[in-house]
Amino acid sequence: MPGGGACLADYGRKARNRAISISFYWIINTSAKIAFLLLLFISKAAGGTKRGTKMKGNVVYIAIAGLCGVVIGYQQLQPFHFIALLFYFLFLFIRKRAVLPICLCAAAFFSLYMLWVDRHNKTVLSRDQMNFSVRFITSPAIDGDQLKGIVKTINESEKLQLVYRIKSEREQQQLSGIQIGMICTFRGTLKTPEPARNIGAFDYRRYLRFQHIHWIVQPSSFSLRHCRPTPLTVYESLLLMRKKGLDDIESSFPSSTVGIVQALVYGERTEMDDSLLDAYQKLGLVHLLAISGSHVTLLVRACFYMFIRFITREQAALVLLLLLPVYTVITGASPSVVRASLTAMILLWFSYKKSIILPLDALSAVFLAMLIVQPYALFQAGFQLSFIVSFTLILSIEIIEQYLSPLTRLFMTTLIAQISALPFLLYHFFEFSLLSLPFNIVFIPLYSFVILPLSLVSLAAHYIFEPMSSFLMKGLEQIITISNEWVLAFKQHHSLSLILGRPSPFLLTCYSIAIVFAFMQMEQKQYRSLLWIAAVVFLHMIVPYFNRYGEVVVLDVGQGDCIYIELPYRKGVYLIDTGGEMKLSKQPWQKRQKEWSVGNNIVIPFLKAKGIRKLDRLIITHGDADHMGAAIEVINAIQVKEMLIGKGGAQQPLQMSLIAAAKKQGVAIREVGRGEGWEAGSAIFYVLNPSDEKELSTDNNRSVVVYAKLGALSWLFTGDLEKEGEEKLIRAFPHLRVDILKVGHHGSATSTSEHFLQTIQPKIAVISVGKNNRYHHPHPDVIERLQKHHIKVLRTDQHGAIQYIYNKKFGTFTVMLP
Amino acid sequence: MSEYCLLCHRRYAQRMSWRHLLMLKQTDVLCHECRCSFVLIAGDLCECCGRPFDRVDESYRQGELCIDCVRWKHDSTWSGVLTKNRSVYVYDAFMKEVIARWKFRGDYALVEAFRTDMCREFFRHFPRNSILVPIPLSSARLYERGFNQAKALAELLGLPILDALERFDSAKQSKKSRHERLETDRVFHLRSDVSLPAGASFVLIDDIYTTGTTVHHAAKVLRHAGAVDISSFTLARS
Repeated sequence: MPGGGACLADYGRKARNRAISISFYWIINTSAKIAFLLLLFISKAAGGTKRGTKMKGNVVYIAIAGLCGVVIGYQQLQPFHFIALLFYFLFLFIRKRAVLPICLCAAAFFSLYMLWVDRHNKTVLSRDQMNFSVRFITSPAIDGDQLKGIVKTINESEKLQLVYRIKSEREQQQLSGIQIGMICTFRGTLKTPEPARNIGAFDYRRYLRFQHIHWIVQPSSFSLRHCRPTPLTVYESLLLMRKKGLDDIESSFPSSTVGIVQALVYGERTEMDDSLLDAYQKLGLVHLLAISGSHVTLLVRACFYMFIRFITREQAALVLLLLLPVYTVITGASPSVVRASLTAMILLWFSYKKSIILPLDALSAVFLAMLIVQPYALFQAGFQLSFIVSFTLILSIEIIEQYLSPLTRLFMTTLIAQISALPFLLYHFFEFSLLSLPFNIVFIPLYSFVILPLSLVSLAAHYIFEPMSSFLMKGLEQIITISNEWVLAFKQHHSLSLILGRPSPFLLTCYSIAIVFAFMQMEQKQYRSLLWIAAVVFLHMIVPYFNRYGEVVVLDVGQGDCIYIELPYRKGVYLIDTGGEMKLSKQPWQKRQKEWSVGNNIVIPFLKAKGIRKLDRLIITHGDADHMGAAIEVINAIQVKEMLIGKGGAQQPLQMSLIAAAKKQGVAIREVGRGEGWEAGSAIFYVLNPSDEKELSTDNNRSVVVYAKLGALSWLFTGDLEKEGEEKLIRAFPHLRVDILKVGHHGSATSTSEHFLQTIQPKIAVISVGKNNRYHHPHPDVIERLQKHHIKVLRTDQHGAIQYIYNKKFGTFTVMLP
Repeated sequence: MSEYCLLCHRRYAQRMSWRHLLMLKQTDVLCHECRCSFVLIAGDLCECCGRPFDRVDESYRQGELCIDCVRWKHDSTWSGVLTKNRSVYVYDAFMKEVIARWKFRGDYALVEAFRTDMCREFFRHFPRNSILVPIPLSSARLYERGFNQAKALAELLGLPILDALERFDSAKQSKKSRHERLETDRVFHLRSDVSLPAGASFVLIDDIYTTGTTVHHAAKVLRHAGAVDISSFTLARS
């Protein structure tokens, strides 16, 4: 029997896979059950009718212990965690000895649980699998020429992220027939998702891993003919309903309102205009577009008062208890919806039982239950913001109720919510807007009392009585258009955004202490303590100016160059090139809702994460798109003091549009050439190219070449300089020696000649080059030449961003991808 | 933490605040509504007896003192006997009902409701090395009531308590007019087995300060026994 062994092995593999998938299922299922039991138990204990119940008011301490547990389980025990945990337990020992044992247990349980979940979160598929048979477990979304959806393999029950590049407009129409629950077979390849390749960039691998997804599957061809529908689970039919509802809104509402109505009714933001969403984000209004606690409360209240016209209060509570889970799924089950609905359910249940539970206990129980179902959620911005804001507001009722007028209360509520979210916003988005407070005070009532009810009513009218709805929609359109205009105008011109950068653990601790202290003082009507928060913000602002380390970061901008230089004590911040992508012309059907761009997705987040409010110099080596394509985005997002371009570069078409944009933003523009230079602190910069000679033919050879002495080492940034330019360079500077060479033209064979290397004798070569680029850079000959000279090579395609941190004497290289 | 409010006996949800979370504030035994019904004495006070000026007519005021205190000062037998008095709550209709229930109807547990405010106000006005002297009850009254309300209050403060006084009279103060009260010349006497520590500050503790006669009588006894600095602290005052 020739195939017997293989068959047996296959069987063995299948059995193992089956076992793993079963155990995986078991985790998901049991964790949901454990979470449910825990919820019941905690609620029971916290709301117990016996006098002096130990748990009452104390669940929050267990929740904090659980939180510590999850963090330790995920990141292992680090000194910082250890100290924090020690302080926490010391506090409990002194002040709350009764709950100390259970908190110890919770911390231990959650850390082991997280460890266990993380250990079991791995793939059973092998990279070389080609044939797939998968079932769609979410509604697939078609965005331009891309179809995306989460699928589950039939045999192994492993979740995959499916991404298919649609080839024609006809295919796009055809594929819109694919629905949740369909089983499709196709040939395709598995790809590992990209980790963050740059500081401050989005970590797609981690994001998917947190959803237990380890592969992106890319079908080579994909057709509806190889798909068949299967019966849906209850959960999936709810998702289908959601999809239908979203489509209904898209087809019936005026186009300017679609995005916002979808967000308010179904918690779906993908249809929103990108710049508008960005504006809402910038002005701190984006929470209005998420379904939040106030949203759920408003709906529950409205329904409750409507129901009790017809049924008893108890029945109304029960009906709502049944409806809330449905509502949660229909609105996309984002962390804020789940949190708000579960809390509302606990509170309803207790009011039904004529018992009382503290809102804080209910919230803490929900927190613990959500951590059990999905411990990774703790590391998501949405989860963190949702819980911290509601937690803070519950604890701050005393502060808010000191005031009687509704306007002051709204002001205080908004202020408290903003303050509590501040460290989290800074950590995830690196900036906050000073306008956020006034805008919220206008927009919270506008959304809660006008736009949200109007959206719901016009949607209801659309289903019940069509003629009425068009009238309502007109009104809605008017209001939304005006409010959007305001938001966009302010974002554009006076966003008063304060870029502070990602806070260090030390600063985060300062923020937390200052904020808790301020809230405690505010309870006693002392508002001077708000100055402490302002002081920490100020400290955050000036901390880089006391940093004795400088750094050079070669960003991984794909195929292109972007090099960031920060001098010690921030005596100067420079950017050499910005990277950029080739603009490919796209058919209208191919256009995606949100196009990825080097500027918005890599360079600007990086600069913001560093807390750069102003670039001293932006040096554009030459006018190729892969060096300056993102420059306009950078100039518009971050203040630039001066832009340097090569002599004669102003005539180049791409640079001409850049110069026009720079002038509009008030950036000084200077043409530089050989012989110029500047000093800043102990650093020295010389421009070695372009020279005045006219015979240099190509743009590449007219690249601005910068020689820099930073700390103990000298660098040569060559732009796209080619052989001819190199020759000219060493003829002009025969004694030029450098320690680190930024290899010219991404390692193309036409650069980095033998003679050049012999002359300048670098020790380390850095190549900024795109992964799998179409030019097959770097050329093997160049690598060979570098190796022959025993030069250590660092490549952005292999290492991600390359960071060099230095002080006067020493420096170290680190790379993003180990 | 209890489930029901000590005063209105309704079930209530405890309000959590930041100071509760950090255990800087004990959880309350009253519901929020009942707690808000207590009126703390605040604002401009008579330097001597702690009467809030904003609750009386302007004509009762002479400089930093109220007319009552001026009268005490001019009376040679009483002048300088009592350094000062301070009280926690305003003795209004609500407070009257609360004290009646606590004292006359024996709802002893209510004393817990006064703890936080008592402690805070006491240490705002008096030093930590004070010695507390609760106003005594006559033995008949003590038997009838089961507890001495002044002593119960003093016990909240956690400072040394000196039972220095005993009472002659058995007629209730609250059944007498100001004139009658002043006429009664000897209400208290020093217990024979007690000696006062020299140089200490004494704080008399009582439930209500109405005319100030009781504490003045008690202070006088202590003064005769050699005490120099005698003040009083009461739960409520009119």
